[in-house]
This record gives sequence, C-alpha cells and structure tokens, in this order.
Amino acid sequence: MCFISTSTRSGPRWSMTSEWRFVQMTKRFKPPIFATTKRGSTVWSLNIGEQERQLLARLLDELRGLLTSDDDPDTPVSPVLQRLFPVAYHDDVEKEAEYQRLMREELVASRLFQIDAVAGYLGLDDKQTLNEGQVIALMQSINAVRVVLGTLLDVGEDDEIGGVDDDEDLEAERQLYGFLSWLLEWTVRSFQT
Amino acid sequence: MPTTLEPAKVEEPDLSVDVAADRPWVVLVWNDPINLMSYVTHVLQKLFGYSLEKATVLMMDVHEKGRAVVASGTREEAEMHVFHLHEHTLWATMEHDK
Repeated sequence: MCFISTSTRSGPRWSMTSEWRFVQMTKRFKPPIFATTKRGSTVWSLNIGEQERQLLARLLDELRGLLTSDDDPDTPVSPVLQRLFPVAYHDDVEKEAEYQRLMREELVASRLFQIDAVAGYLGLDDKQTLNEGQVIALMQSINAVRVVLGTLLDVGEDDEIGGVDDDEDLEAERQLYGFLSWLLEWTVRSFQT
Repeated sequence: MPTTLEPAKVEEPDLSVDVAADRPWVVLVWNDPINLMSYVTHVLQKLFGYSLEKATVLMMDVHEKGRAVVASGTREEAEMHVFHLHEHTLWATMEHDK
C-alpha cells in the first residue's frame, strides 16, 4: 500500500484530502526515540510521556530487585533467573561452576550499572538528550525486562504467547511486553539512522 | 663406546591433552523466541564489528537452524564474548571447536 498514490483521481475529492491529511500526520510522527546529528556529534531524544517514563522506572526497580534477590539453595532456580543468567558451558559442569563463580557477580554489577544509568535520566527534564552509552544502557535494560516478561508469558516463535492466552491475570504483562518490544525496536532503529 | 646405533627411549608427549588445549573455542548463539531479530543483528554488529550483511546471515542461521557460531578464539576470549552476549541477554554458550 502506498499512501502517496493519486489513484483516486476519478474518485470523490474528500478521499484525496483524507489521504493528504494522513500523509501529513505520518510525516509529523516522531518516534519514541530518535537520533540527531549536528556537526558530527550524535545525540538521542527520548520522546515518551511522563507516565511511560515512570512506568519504565518502576519496571527497572523490579528488575533490580530480581537481580539482587538472594538465592535459596533449597529452591530450584526459577526459569526467569535461569534466563537472566544463562549457562556458558552447557556440556561441562565443572567449567560452568567456575564460570558462574567468577562471572555472575560481574554480570549483576554490569546490569545494575545500566539500570542506574537509565533511572538517572528518566527523572530528568524530557528535553535532556542522551549520549550513545545511555542509549545502549536503555536498550540492554529494556531487553532484560522483556526477557523476564517473555519468560513469564512463555512467549514462543513469532511472539506467540503460549499457554496463557486465556489468562486474564497476565493481560498487564502482555501489554507491557508489547510496549517494551515496540520501544526496543525503535531504539535499535535509532542506531541505524 | 657402542659401535652400533642403539634405539633411544623417547618420552612420547600426551598428544590428546595438547591437542585439546590448542583447539580453539567457539561461541554459539542459540535461538530464542524473545529476542527481536533486529536486536540480535544489532548486537552482533556492535560486539564483533560485523557488517549488516554478515550479522543478518548469522542472525538468520540462529533463527532457522537453532544456533550459529558467532566467534572463536582462546578460552579467555570466548568467555569474554559469552559474557558480553549475556549482558545483552542473548542466549550464548561456548565449546571446543569440533
């Protein structure tokens, strides 16, 4: 479909006007995050409302809680934590134990650093621009929350949410997952422009 | 003084150990229904400096074949690659090259 088409030449005048208005409207659309380059220097703008900023801040707080929760050795590791801390050596138990002993704390520290970086500017004036490091922190943190929600929702290929389609209790998680996927897609796209 | 050459006893090195130690490690990324295809492509470009074309081919291998080798090197290098992929919440493992 191409909205620039003038194939309605013989059609009613209002359809051309409607199409023109639609094109103008889409031209005015500003993505939720976008990059601008001036004099060789690129900065990013986060174009989301105050409520979305607060929502992101709350989700990051919850992620921080998950990352810093104490493991109970008597309880099996939850699928969410397994997904946040994947195995490195899937065919060598000894090397895997050594890897986790050395790297798990590093991974937690790295994720907390990213969360703090994002939380720091979510509270700032929305005119404040972001640098590349801050956008990378945003991208990684959004995806970590998506992974938590996606695991809870048992997301399958092509975004199919398995086994919980009729579960209204998870409707909020499903909506959040969709919102974060949309924001992540635009964040990735902002690096390509 | 011996007039003929006598066979000398030579200690044979344990080749199985050395060969295993010398074999490079490969880093694998596994298919995962949560990570976006565009995100995986972007991460492979960022971490390994791959072109968009190469990163897209690797991402499609992950998506269609279930996994792809995205890097190789010494054990330390492979561990660092796996760590950075885990930072981006990609499902990555490492193993000896076969």
